[in-house]
Amino acid sequence: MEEGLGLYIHIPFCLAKCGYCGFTSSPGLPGHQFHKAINREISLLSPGKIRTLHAGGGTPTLMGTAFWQELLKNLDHANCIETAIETNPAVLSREGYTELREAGFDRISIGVQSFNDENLRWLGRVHTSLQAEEAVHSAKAGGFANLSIDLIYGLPGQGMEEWRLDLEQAIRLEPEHISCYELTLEPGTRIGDAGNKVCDSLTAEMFMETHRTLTGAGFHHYEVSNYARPGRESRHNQAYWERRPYHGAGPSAHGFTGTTRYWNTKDTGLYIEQTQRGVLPRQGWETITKDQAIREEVMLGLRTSRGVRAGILPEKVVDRLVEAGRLQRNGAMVSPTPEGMLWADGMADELTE
Amino acid sequence: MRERIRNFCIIAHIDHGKSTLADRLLQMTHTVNDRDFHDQMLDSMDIERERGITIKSTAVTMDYTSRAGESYILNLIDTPGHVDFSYEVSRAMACCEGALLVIDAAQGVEAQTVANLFKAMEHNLTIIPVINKIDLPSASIEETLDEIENELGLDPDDAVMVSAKTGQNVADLLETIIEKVPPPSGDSGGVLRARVFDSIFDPYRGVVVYFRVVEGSIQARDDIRLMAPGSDYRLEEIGYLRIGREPRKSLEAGEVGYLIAGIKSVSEVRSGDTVTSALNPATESLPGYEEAKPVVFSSIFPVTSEDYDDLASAIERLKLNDASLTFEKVSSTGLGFGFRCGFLGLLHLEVVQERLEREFDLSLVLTAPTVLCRISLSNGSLIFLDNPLLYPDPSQIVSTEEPYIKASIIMPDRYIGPVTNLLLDRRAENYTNMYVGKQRVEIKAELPLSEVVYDFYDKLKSITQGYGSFDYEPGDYRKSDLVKVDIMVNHERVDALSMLVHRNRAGSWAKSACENLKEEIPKQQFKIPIQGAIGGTIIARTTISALRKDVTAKCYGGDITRKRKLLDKQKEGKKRMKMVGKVMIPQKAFLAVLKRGD
Repeated sequence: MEEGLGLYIHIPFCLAKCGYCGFTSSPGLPGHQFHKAINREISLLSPGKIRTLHAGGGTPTLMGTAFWQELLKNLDHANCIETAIETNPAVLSREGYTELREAGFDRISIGVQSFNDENLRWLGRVHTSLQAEEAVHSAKAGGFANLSIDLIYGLPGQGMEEWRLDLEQAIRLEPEHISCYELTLEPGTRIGDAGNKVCDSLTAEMFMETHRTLTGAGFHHYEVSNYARPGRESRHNQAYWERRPYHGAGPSAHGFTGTTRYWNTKDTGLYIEQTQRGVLPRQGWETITKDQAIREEVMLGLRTSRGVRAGILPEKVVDRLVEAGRLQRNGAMVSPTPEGMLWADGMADELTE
Repeated sequence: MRERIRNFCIIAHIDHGKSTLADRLLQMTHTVNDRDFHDQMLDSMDIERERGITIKSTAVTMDYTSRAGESYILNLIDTPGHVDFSYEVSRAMACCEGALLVIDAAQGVEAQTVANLFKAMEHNLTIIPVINKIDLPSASIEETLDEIENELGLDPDDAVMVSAKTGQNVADLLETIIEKVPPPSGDSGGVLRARVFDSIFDPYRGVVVYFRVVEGSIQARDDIRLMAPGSDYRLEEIGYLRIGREPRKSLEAGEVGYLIAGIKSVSEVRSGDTVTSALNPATESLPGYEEAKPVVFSSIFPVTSEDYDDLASAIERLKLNDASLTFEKVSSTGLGFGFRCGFLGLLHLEVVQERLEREFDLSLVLTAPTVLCRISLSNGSLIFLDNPLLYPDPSQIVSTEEPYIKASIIMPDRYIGPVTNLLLDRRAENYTNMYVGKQRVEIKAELPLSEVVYDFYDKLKSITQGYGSFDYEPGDYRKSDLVKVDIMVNHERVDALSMLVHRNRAGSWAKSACENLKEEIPKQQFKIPIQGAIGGTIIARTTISALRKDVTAKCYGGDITRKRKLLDKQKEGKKRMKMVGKVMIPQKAFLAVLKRGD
């Protein structure tokens, strides 16, 4: 029996700010105050039973393994079906992975992004492709039997061949999970503001090529940007897409109670100050109306192979989109075809009021 | 009584300090107390305050005790300054004996100042030059005095130097007004003739008419007649215009005030009309009355068709307070139902658009402003065309004429080159220039009105870095080689974008229209050709490539709110789009084309 809520913990520190990164994170090491603040917020949240835990960022492994060990010890995660952490290949030693595994994490996500050193430099990554490969080997040696690799495609000037090499290299490393994100030009980031252009038709082809290559290699394309060996889907992320409730902790983290979505302050200083005073560091929240809930369900479901309940969709539009090869019916569900995933946003618009 | 009345207006170029000076006069005469005071007291509409322009005329009666201890009544008639409203300006001037000509000591004389000065002279007003902003470090008083003498032909010794902002010398100015401005003439004993200079719509009282008694007197219970329409009304109230309205029993010759008489719409009361007694009417109305003549036309459509009824009632509401606005219902294949409207000029158009959008919360699409063209047909008839959609079959056209204007531009001489190029680009003729001051040049030229209604003034401002000023008066009709250019999106004509342009310009206009559309129309799931054409001949083309995907890579962790708001925004954006055939065109694409981004 699955019980409890998801818990996301955001650590806004990293070795260096990557040129494309639009998340709340800045270079530096988390100090003692910040450690205390995270613990303080979690005790204020009193999250109860944890179903999935995901430590993200930033680079959460910069907190040190001892911190996570302590944190997990204080949580009720006996029934936890997934305890995941993200890392940068340059952070942990070989032993570090073993320690993380022993601390209680059972899934690790390694930010490889590319196996091409030139592309890694352009993206602003602080590691080489060799380091990334070593990180994967170390994590496996340390006992991680559920490992994910993040990749980015659609870099300006990147050709199909170059991307195929990245995919092949990723497959050779035999991860359980691969996330392939198209480069997003996020305003306010170095790369996003540099006037770069992404070629629509090429990235669309890369998306389809990714789908063919990874499904051919035995991966399940279960969300627009995510592929997994059957049974190795990210349970924590699936909970977001299925609109299950989750707690969010750490600066800028978002949480969802089932009816209300809330988000924390992005300001780490303020975050520390408020948690110290015993105040939850909320910056805002919104109560989701029925209409909004339907819209969310459609918008999120259309990104996944699981799809959306047919009953909440306008039938005529569904028929048209099935006809166009973008949707398919699976019993009571309607899900996007692989090609249809490329149109998830537009379809969400068409399929909602 | 009449001996103690002074009626005057303030003439100034925009930003030269007219409203600030009016504010100081109101304070110094205790017409408004400090607690109730706010900046730009006389400008009541938001849009007037924000843009620093006066759209409607108004008046205020101030009590003033002179240094010699005598009581005076000062009537300040506040007029619009912009060329679009020159008729209103002249009606207001006809109610005055004097004018304060305000000149910014840092900017010097501008084209608008000259134009309005000439109007004041036509009305035989006593001119008091007022040099303002003398507190500014950049003030060049000597030069300004020099310009007053040489450029305006006024006696610089008459000039009063003030700072409206600090109030410096404004007290002296009040003395100068009672000394120099003559009292009104006119006999209170004769038959009533009063000149209307504006009217406003009060939702509780109906139309409030602003007037000056020229001859005779008006009593609070009289029956009156508006001479132009010949309609009679029973007066409900008359009085002085203070900061609010102050009812009186009667107003005598020379006095300025308001009347309320159950009038339903300002279109019944045209500025310049004569008010007389219904029982003992005057035989002749006062001279100078003209019907409103719109010169610029544009069709206004709601972005969402469901808003048509709201637009209709909004335009009718605006019309209650804006007699010069004309409108009639039209329909367009792309834009649905809307109104073909006539305006006094481009500023008037912008003001109406802004008020509709702001005060009535409407989202609008306006078609390219057009002037009134005169077309001779082979069957011998002559038609006036204000809408490109009604353009006749070209084979039936013998000749086409368009209205010209006489423009005057004053600017520092270093800008002669670029301004000349601008004028040539806008088909200017009979071009002359002359020095009107040290390093200041006035260019006179005649050019088609259609060439100034777009962005001429903006262009002029930008190439002269804000130093160029512009004024014009209407001229004659001249033959012109005009053609109708159509824009087609996905092979469907977008009728709202059809335009009459000079043949030499047709190619470049069509090209920039196509490019603007390409820029602003979001990619759709199919390829969209965009073409410009004269009749069946394609003169410009471009293509919007098909959208290849529509999905965001990342779902931003648990931040579903952001994702949903993006979806909401997309939906909101769609509401602001118009379907033409099967292509969705955003409102800003229409605007981009109509703004002419060359």
